[in-house]
Amino acid sequence: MKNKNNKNFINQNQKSFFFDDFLEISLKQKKIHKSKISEDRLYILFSVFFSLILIFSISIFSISIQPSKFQEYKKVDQNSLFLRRDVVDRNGQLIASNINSYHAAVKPRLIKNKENFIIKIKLNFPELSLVELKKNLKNKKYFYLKKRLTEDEKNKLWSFGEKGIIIEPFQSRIYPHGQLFSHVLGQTDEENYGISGIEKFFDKDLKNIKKNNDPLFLTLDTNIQFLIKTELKRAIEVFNAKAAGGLLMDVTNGEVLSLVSLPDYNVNIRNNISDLKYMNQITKGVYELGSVFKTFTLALAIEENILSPDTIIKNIPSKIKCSKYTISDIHKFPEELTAEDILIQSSNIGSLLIGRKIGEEKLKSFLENLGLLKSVSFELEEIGKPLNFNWEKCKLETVSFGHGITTTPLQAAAAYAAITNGGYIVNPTLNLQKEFDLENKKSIISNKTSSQINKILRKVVTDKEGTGSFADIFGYDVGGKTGTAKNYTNFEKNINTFISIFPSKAPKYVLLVLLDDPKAAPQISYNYRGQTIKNISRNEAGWNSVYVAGKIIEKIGPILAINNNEVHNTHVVKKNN
Amino acid sequence: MLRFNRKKLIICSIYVSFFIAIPIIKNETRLIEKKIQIYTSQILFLEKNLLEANLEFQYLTSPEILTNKINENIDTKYNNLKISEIYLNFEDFISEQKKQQKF
Repeated sequence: MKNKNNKNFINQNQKSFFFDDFLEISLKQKKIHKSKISEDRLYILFSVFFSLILIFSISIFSISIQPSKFQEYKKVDQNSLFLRRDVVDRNGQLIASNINSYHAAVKPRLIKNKENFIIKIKLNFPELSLVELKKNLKNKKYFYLKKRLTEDEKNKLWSFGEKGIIIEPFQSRIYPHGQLFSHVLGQTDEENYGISGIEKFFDKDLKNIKKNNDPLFLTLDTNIQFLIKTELKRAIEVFNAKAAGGLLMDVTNGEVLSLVSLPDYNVNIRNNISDLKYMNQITKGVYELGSVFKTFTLALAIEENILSPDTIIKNIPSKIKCSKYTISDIHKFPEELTAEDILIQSSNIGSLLIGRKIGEEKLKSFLENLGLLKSVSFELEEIGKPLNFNWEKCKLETVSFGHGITTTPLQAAAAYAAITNGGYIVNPTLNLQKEFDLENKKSIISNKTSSQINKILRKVVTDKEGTGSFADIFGYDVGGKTGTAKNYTNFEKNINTFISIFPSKAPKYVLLVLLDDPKAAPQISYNYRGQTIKNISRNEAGWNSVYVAGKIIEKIGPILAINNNEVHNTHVVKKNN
Repeated sequence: MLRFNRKKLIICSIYVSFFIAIPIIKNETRLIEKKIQIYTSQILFLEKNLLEANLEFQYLTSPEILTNKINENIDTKYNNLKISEIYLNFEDFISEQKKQQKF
């Protein structure tokens, strides 16, 4: 290095000269140097591109394994599903559905000009309390201005353009028929939980999202329900009754086609229904139904071969003293009556004598088997429990003609269905999808006894002495039994019942009509076997409940006849022939 | 300089083809999803309309509303059909009418 650096150095041993091509060397060196730089750059570039590719690959891979957004949309769709299933009648007519509804809430902190806001509210919603509104605005806490807004109210609030007004969406239950099914459907609360009626009984089932597209089918028929309600409403006006109830049931399987209880209420308006008058008369009302029980006494006596319909009961007294009570009839009957006449003319003493022949144990067990003494299993929460009583002195006697024993009209109708359908027990139901188990049906009386009873019930309507003449509607072969009883909470008031079956040769339907405290209606022109009778001042079941049942059958009969082949073929075809 | 054997070349080409194909497929899928979303929202809208229309129909054709409308707008009084007035078919009706005429 020293030599090189010393420019004056001369090598003495040097034999020849050579010239260093400094230019070329330097170029070479430069090239080598440059190539090293470019190699480094290449490496850098490669690493940059490689890392970029790696990043893109990873991102593409991650995107490709991400779940599709479409799944998210599906989830959103699921969330927008209705929270409760629809309810439809037996013909598929909608009776309960859901709509999207709105509450208006206020965030006071977001309202800048509070005075202006109050004025706007005062102008558009005069029904709202301004004192409360001012108080809530002062509190500065989130509060509800109005719940369940109508479309107009919602639009008005939108038009305010206030940030502080929050329109909260929620799902609301709606009943297109208003009051028509109020006692059956019941209500839901603000959180969409069923709180009464069907809504409560089927609450879990109605909320089952898996079944969301399948409505719940009820056994009810909207048209028949309306016709029965209209007649009962008219009956309340005409007979100045306190309340009324109607029940139409298929005797072969217990399907309830109509259940009306008046007064009713609009289920779309969520009010707290605490007044006793809004009680479901048919399922919750527990009444002493009176003479309708005589049918059970006679049916058991025939079934037990104690007597036949033609058996003559002799020496029927006009009064019987039982313990401290004196039992008598509403009017004097002959001293000799056949067993069927006792039912046709509704003799208390006659039934009492039959009851004594049956005996307490048998009658008690029969009524228990008919399901009259305990609560009935039914798809409503509002179920009444018959009052407990001891079978003491005179109980057999009074129960045999329907006094001193209580039950719900629903149970009485179900018992009539069992007595008239050939003798097997049917459980009343509102669920159309519930199949009746025909194989395991439980018999209560024989088919023969059942048909004998049906003939007698028909005579109650057709006989001169019968109490149900006004229900003799041409073509429907109506049979039935009246019951006039005192209200056990107020002995001055009557509970009048008529339980009819039709067509009585092979009953298909049982119709129960109940009027609570009906008065005489002298203004009515009764058509009694072609004669017009006026100024009647009587208020027994035969003069009101039977009359109403007749009017109902006249109206619903054609619908039932058309919808039901059995009734149609038996009656309409024969008539035409 | 860069020596690829066949195996590496195949892997590389597969990688590159996937690299190109995935974004294309993904993009197409996204477009299809967008369409599906549009259709879904359209279906939801139509379903909502159908539901509202059905609800309205059920309300307007409920027996109570129809009775009120008939009472308000039509003077004709309708009578309930008795069972003797119901005929199974038109021929039965005609023959019954003829019988009545002869009588």
